[in-house]
Amino acid sequence: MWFGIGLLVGALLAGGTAATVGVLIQALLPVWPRVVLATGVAVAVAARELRLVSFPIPENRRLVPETVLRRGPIAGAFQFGTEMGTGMRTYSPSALPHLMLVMIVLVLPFGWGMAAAIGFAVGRWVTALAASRFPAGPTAWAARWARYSRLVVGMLAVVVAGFVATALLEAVS
Amino acid sequence: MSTSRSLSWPLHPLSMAFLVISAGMAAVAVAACDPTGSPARLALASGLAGAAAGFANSGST
Repeated sequence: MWFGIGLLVGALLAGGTAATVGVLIQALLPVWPRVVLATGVAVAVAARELRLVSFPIPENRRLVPETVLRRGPIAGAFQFGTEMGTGMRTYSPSALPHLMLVMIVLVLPFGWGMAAAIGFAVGRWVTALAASRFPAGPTAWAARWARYSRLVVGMLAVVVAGFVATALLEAVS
Repeated sequence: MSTSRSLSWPLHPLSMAFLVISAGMAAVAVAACDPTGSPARLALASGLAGAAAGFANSGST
């Protein structure tokens, strides 16, 4: 539970900061440059997630230190969750969170940005929960994830791209 | 063995991905059909897109 609460806190911290910066940027920049920039990022990320192109993305190339978990079942789990929830404290296998961050800063109204942050935390929480409850164990869940990740991430990218297109149309309408 | 299988399939990455993708596509479709309508629909679509991004990032620990 504390891991999940930490995830939510971390995601709201990162999403809230991005949404606050977004309020300023969206107030200062006209809509078309923002939409063109967001479209470019969305196309690049979709192509990357579908494995059509390959390029590095900003990520923290380290694992969350094990010492964090030694802080106990409450403080350790909470801090671990918070670090994971920001999406910036460890590796990032997918660029979809980066795309959502760009959308929050450039296009989405504050409330939508916070909804996206809450969704990010929930998405991470359910997978961690499923892995820990998987009858064959977390390692077996991770192995199955690795086996199907290309297909799954590609389809998730299509969903996010659909949302991005809808949000961009809403921004220019 | 069969009990283990019947309990494990809802937690399988593919089952969970199917749920997230279905819900996300449905939310996007509803929001796209009525883009100037309820902000709550678009907020829901935004939340599900965030969930898809969180799900896609599951490989990191």
